[in-house]
Amino acid sequence: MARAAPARTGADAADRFETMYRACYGDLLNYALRRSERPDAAADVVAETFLVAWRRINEIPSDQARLWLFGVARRVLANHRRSARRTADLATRLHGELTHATPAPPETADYVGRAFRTLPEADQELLRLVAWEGLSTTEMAVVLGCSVNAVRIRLHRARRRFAGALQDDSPLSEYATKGLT
Amino acid sequence: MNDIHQRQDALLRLLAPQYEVPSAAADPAGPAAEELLQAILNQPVPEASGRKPWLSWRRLVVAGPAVAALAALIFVMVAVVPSSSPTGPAPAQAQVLRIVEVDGYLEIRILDPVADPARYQAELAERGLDIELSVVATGPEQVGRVIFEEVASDSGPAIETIEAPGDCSATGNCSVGIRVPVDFRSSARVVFGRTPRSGETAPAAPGGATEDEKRWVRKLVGKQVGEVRRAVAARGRTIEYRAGADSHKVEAAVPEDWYVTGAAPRADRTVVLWVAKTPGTRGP
Repeated sequence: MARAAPARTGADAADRFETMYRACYGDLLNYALRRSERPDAAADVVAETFLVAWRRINEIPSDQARLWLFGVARRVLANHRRSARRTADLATRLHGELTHATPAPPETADYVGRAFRTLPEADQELLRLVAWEGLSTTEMAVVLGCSVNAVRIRLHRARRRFAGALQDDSPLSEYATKGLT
Repeated sequence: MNDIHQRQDALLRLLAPQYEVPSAAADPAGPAAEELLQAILNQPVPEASGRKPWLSWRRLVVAGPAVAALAALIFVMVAVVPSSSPTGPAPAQAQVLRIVEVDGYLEIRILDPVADPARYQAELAERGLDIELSVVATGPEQVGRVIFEEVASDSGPAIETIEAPGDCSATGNCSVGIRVPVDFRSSARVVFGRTPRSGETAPAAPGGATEDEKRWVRKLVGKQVGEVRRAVAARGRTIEYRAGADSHKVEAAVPEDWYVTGAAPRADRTVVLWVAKTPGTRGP
């Protein structure tokens, strides 16, 4: 892992932040949108995550900014779920624009979603990171702040539990479970 | 990854919510992203080296023993550091925080917004709290408000803000203090806003513009460039043009009959205009 850039302030910090912001904005917005109950709530998650990044710009590993941001966003989302507190209104326009974002209906049968939602939140997030964000186990370890080995073990168990949940009432259970137990 | 995993992942991908996000919000160089970027850059500049090293980003997402141990260590260090006077106790000082226990929470409000931050930490440490509390100069909208909050652990009890209905800023921030569960064992950092001292410059409000200015800029959208150019000049602002799907900066003269498809004020009295040949598009 590359070290965080040497501590600097002012224009240097602003330049580095802007570069990271432009590069990661889309991925972070998608990450937040897929996990927020309402699309406009994703604006708060994006704003709060980037605000944390600005406060700590000197600590962010230059080659893992996206993963670092996902790790912060995950914690921001957890805080939002626990308390409905309002955040500083930094993203007025983003809030307004996302209010009009329209979700497309899911393209899969209801039972898949039901099976997924029976899993513990930790399992769900592991599976989301691998399937939605396309992260490797090494990258997931950065986001989750644990060892690669721990991720492998947890992911294996999450896959097995998801397969088991699908098996309960799914005509596709053979696809989901074969070879996983 | 084996074939079964691939099929499982394919099913999972179908569960991902898909949104039609307006380009003004989706584009990293679009007006919504630009406004947020400027709002964040208008916040206080991060310090090169903090008074106390903050938790590493990795520890940020690791709950439990490591953080608790760190909090305990900091508390012990505070407890064993001798008072400033080697010959006796330090003179009594007025409290800089008001800390009241209510229904299992410690309600914390700032009494002296220009006190030495070390005194905030000392009073919080007396309550066993590892909270780095600071106060920074802000615009009038954020004076007395919680403008930043960060908790090290994503498990366990959370810090809440004390909200005062009827005492909210124009941006909807009603916070006047924080409520910390008495069993809070994590680390946190909280920043309040205060009035700038004489001669001190406060960062601009979010977006670097007043609400009036933001409303005025929003009304520019949909108009033709010629009209907008005159209106912006009349207010003593300069314009930066952007165009195209990649929102590139336009250095050449923009035709007067083009349309403004997005607009955002910036702290440097510049108005960023997204322009296109036809209304409601991002090209050419």
